[in-house]
Amino acid sequence: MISINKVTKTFGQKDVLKNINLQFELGKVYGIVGENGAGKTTLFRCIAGLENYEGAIIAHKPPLKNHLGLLLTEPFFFDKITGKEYIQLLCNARGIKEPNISKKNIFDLPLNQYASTYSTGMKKKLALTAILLQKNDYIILDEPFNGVDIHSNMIITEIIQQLKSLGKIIIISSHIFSTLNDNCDEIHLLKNGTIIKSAQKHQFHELELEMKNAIIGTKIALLELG
Amino acid sequence: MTPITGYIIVVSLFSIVSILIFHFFPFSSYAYVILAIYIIGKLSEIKRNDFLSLCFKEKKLISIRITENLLCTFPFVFFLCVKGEFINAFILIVISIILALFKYKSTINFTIWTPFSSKPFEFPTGFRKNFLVILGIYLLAGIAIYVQNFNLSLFCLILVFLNSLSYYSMLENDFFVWIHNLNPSEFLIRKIKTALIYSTLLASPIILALTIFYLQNWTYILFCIAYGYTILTALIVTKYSSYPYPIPIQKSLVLGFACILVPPFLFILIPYHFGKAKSELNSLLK
Repeated sequence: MISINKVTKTFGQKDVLKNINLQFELGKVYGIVGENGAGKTTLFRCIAGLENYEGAIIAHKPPLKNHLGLLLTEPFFFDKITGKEYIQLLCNARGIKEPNISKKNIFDLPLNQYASTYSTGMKKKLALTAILLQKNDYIILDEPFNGVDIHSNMIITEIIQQLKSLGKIIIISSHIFSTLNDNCDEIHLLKNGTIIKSAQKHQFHELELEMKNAIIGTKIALLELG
Repeated sequence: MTPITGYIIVVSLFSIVSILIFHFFPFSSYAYVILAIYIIGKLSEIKRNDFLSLCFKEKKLISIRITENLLCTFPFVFFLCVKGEFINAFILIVISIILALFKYKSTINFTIWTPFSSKPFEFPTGFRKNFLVILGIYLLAGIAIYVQNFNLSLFCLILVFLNSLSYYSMLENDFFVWIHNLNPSEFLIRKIKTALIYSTLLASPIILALTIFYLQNWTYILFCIAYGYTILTALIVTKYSSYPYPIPIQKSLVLGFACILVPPFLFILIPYHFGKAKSELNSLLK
């Protein structure tokens, strides 16, 4: 379980996260949605311990960071490091001996090529493979479907379901509502650093409609496309 | 630090490196011209030139490219003239003008094999970026042993360690520190251990050759290896003592001063920076 209690994060004068309270339970998939700049990535960085914050984040397996796999929106890759070495780096960091990395290359990535030459989707798949091989109990996926082809999209969805059945906690952010609809048990809507709404599976459609109305409103009409 | 201090440091470093090249390298003027062409050649990088061609018309672009190549060539040309190498200076000017007319990929994308793959990232990436430098050092060490110049071959051994230092100059994203399930001390010790093992591996051809041909001078060889280990350790702890920021110029100067002029001072610097590094890493490696 991960429990987020009264978490507030401030950058200078700006409150990026305001009094966030959330509970994440084992074996469930959670979605975090919100506009760009709503605070999703900052929330993930706080959970990971990459940012200092006010409040408390408690996990049933402390320290949380040592059991957490974090897939960033734009994973960073060193120049002149191959895909295989990237995976090796992440496994070494957790003391995991993975003798057969190539065998676990489910996305058929060119692991002996430099990761910096990969496309956006390939980079994402490489970073995902690496955190999966770390055998984490908590997994945060920031935009996992971004730039990924349809086949890999299906594989990622299946992986999420398997991780869920293994009792892991998965937290996903995505700008594609359908991907959250397919994967999540609960979705939290983040706006200006505050959780303004939480929806259970049966309320997703309602949430989507509500978001559509709030976001689109009369904006398209301003373009006078017709 | 004011910009003028930066200019003074850059000019001083350039002069020192140039003097060292002319002092130590056989056929130094040719090596110097090749080094200059290599550096200027970076300006012909295809992506950079594509961007410039989007910003400027063709004639303007050519004049800009020639001007920047000549400006970058100037310090090399100046130094060659000081050394009386007027023909080489002239050749360098001509080549830099010709290079301005071309664009090409200056980076190699095929994967270079490295013996350091099992412990990424510093040595695999550094080795691949500098493998020509390593080959050059090995070649120079071979020549030095062939002409029975022990001092030069010993200098090559130190060069390997100095080259390894450059692998640690890059500041990694905080994610790559955070991923470790180690406390700060364990993290630093692991980094130092990897650096020492891999730098020994990199230096092993020269160490082996020196041991075969100059066994009677084993104390000097051991001293150089110990010096290499010390400067590597010093750089690693200094790097993380400022993390996540780059090493400030004052710290770099103190480190450089200690490495070059007062190596025993490193035995005070290392524990001091180790302590600082531990507290800087504490927030990421709780």
